[in-house]
Amino acid sequence: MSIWEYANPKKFMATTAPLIPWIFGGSMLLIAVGLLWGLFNTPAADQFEHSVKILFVHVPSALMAINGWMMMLVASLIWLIRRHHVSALAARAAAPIGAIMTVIALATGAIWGQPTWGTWWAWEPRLTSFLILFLFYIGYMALWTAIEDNDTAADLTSVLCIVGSVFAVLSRYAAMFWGKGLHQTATFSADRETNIDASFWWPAVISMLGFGLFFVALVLIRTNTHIRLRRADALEARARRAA
Amino acid sequence: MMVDFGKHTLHIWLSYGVTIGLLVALALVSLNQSRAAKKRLDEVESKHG
Repeated sequence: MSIWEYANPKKFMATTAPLIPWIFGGSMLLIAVGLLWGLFNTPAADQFEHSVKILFVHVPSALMAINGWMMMLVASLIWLIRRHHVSALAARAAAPIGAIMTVIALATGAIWGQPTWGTWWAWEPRLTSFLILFLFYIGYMALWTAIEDNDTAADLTSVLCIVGSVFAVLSRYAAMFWGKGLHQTATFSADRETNIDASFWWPAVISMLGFGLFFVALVLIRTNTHIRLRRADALEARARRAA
Repeated sequence: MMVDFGKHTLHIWLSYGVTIGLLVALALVSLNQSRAAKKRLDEVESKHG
C-alpha cells in the first residue's frame, strides 16, 4: 500500500471522516486539561510572577503558527512535484487556522509583554518576523480567493508558501540570527530540565499537544469541505457543458 | 468566582478569553462551512450526479 493512495479525494475523505470526531474530541480534552492545569495548578514564577500562566496559551499558539506554515510548505511541495489536488486543498485548508494561531500568539504576546517589558509591542526580531508571517498568511488566503482557476491558484500560492517559509523559520530563530531583542530565546527543549520547571512543563506540553490535534482536526474538516465544494463545482460545470 | 492572580489578573483572563474565543469561533465557522458544503454537494449530486 502506498501513501499516495490517500491523494485520491474519495479515499482521503473515507479514511479521515471517521477519525475526525476522535481527533477533535481528543484535542478539546487535552486543551481543557492543559489550560485548567496551567491556570489553576501552577505556581507563580520568580521572573514573571502569575503572568507566567499566559505561557500555556502563548507558546502552543506560536508553535502552531509556525508549524502550520511548515505543513502548508510540505503540502505545497507535494502539489508542485506530484500534482495531487488533495495536497493543494490541504494547504489551503490550513491557512486560516495558522492565521488565527498567529493572531493568538501576537495578541497574547502583546498582553504578556505589557506587564513584563512595559510595552505592548516592540519592533524587535521575534515580534516583527511573526507579524510578517501573519501578513504572509493573509496574502496566501487572498491569493487563493483572487484567482479563479484552481490549478493556477494552487501553483501561485505554493510559490508564495515557499517564499513565506523563510519568515516562518526566521520567526522561530530570529533571536539567534539578529541577536536578542526583548523576547527570550526558546523556553522548551527535549530536555525538560534545561529551561523550565516540571510544574510548568507538563501542562505546557499537554496544551501544545491539544493545540496540535486541534490544528489537525480542523485541517481535515476544512480539506474535506474544499473537496466537496470542488466536486460540486465540477458537477455543475459538467451539467452546464452538457446543456 | 474571579480567581485573583494579583496585578496580572486582567492580563491572564484577557489572554485566555482571546484564545478560547478565537478557537471556538474558528471551530464553529469550520463546522458550519463543512455542513454547508455537504448540503450543497448532496443537492448538486441529486440534481446532476
